[in-house]
Amino acid sequence: MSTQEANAGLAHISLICSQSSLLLERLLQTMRYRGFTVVNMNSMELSSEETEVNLLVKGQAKLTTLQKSLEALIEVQQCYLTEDQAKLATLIEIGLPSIYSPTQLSQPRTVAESA
Amino acid sequence: MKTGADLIIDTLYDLGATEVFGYPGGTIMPVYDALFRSLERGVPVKHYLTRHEQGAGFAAVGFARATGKTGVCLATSGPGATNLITALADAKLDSVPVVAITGQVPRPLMGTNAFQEVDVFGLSVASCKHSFQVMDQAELEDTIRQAFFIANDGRPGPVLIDIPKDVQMNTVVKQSPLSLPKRPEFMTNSSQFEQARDLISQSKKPMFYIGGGVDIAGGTDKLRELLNLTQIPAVTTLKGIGAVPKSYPHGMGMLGMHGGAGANLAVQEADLLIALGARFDDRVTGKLASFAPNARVLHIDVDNSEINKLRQVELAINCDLSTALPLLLNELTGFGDLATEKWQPWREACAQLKVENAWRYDFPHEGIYAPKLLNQLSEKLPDTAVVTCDVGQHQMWVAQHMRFESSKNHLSSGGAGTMGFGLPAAIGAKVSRPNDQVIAVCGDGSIMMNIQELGTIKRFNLGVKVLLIDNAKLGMVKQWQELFFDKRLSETDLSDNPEFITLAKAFDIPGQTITQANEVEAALDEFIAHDGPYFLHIKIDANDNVWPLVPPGAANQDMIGQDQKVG
Repeated sequence: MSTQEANAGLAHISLICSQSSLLLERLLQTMRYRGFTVVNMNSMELSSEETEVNLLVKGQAKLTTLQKSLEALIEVQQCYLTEDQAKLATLIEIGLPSIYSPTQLSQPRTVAESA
Repeated sequence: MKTGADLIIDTLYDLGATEVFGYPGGTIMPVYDALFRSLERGVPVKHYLTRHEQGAGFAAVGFARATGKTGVCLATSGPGATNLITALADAKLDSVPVVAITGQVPRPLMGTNAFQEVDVFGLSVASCKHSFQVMDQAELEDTIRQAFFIANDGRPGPVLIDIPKDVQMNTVVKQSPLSLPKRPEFMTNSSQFEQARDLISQSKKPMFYIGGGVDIAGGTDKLRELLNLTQIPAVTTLKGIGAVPKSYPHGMGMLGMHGGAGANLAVQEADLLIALGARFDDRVTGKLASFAPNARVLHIDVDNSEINKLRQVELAINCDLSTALPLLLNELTGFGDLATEKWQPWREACAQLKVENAWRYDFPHEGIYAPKLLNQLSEKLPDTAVVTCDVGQHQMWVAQHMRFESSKNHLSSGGAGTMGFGLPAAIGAKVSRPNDQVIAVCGDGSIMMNIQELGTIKRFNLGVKVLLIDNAKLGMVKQWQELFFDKRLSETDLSDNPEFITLAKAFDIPGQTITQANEVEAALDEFIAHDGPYFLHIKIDANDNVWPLVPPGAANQDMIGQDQKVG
């Protein structure tokens, strides 16, 4: 099985969130409810106010719906998602730390879209 | 020095939440003590004691839905809090701003399986928009203000605040600074509305598909201007009922599983759906792949996660409808002539579908035909009357055969479909709108789920009228068993129902039972005219079912029972 095949259906989500004692439960519940399982995750306290959470998720449901649902959570300040196979392979290889620079992370939320 | 509990009441009062619903118990007692003292402290908050926490939750939902204000409910820890959860889940699915405050065991006992300790904070994850657990009295005011903000911001929903008893009892020496988040601005741009105008002007068969989001956003007036300008035919969801005025000539009624045949057939023919505050729910679309197969979709919704979730759209505008509708209206100004000429054949086709599939009430019927009765009731009520429903056949008959001038006048548990909703929701509606007629249309299965709330109606002498449609069955389940389970009527017989009028009288609420069609007119007149609570018990034929019906998994044009819709 090629790496690409092994990574099919995988996506990496990097979140900057405000601190909340219920944060991880809420994130995981959202993943499950929207049809995804968490393959790997880590979280890192950035400050007393903020936490970064990185998740590798797998599922056949719509990733855009998951992303928008995560963005709708009160705690989630920024959400960055990639399905790029090369990036995923790198992430898995290095054990899933955040690879996104602050500039990438600070891209604005989608507030309107045309399909 | 104020206690945490005093601060809770002060903050509720300051936020305008001067009427709350709840049920006391061990860990919420400090708040109830503060409620007791609220009048003398100059912050009067009136508490409505229900007879079950679920009743308090639904009363808060009814209060919020009938007014657009935030509903507030209180409960103790453990079973008190878990009894609220169903109402909170209902509020989440129907986007209702509710704040629930629950007591929790004192902090030193948390995590020890203490008496009446349940992790309601954890339980709330799936049933609330957001939740807080306040571990420091200094954070109480800020948290409550945030909860009200979150409950109403964007797509509304329930917020739970879990507060340990010792936090309620402690003196508040200092407070955390308020940290109310800023309301996010929707970055709409004119090109989106220009595209929307182009889509609409290119369409030959446009159709408004109106959901509950229009009223929630306060967009009903602008919607009506839009309808008047364009004269485009419109269908509504269950929660959108009332947004389209009764007088609108091109209103097609409710679509979906039990929608009108005319509405469903028209949507299937449309070439453009203008979806406003609607979410393509499975009860609306039937077989998704076959829903409005020829239509492009313009979708405007405040919740971005609803866009492209089920139906891929041509143009999406993620925006609060109170912002979007004036912009759309502005963009379409000047459409008058185009609207008159271009869409006239389509309007005529829709009108023809309406005529061909109009509800009929002339079926020969010895007993009482509930759809006809509800239609008669609707004709007799003022436009300001509020009707709440339970869930089941009677709920669909209300949606089909009663007409409303505002979505705030039709309170029906849509997303969650919660039996037992109607009676306590009517209590909340009556508290919030004491001068308006409030009627709970209940089923005999549903009413037994919260029948104890007759006690609340009596205690506060609320003029809630209960109209019970009794077929001695769990009618909707029975209907499905007949249609899809080879008539194996498993556990749907309720022929051992209590004597309902005796039960009402036990709560000192007057009423009567009717069984014949010729009794309806006078009974409805007495029901409406009676000053104070009243219970009208209507026995109907258990063989009457709800038609038409789109079978599960079928396309909306494949609805069944159209030939039986008259009886």
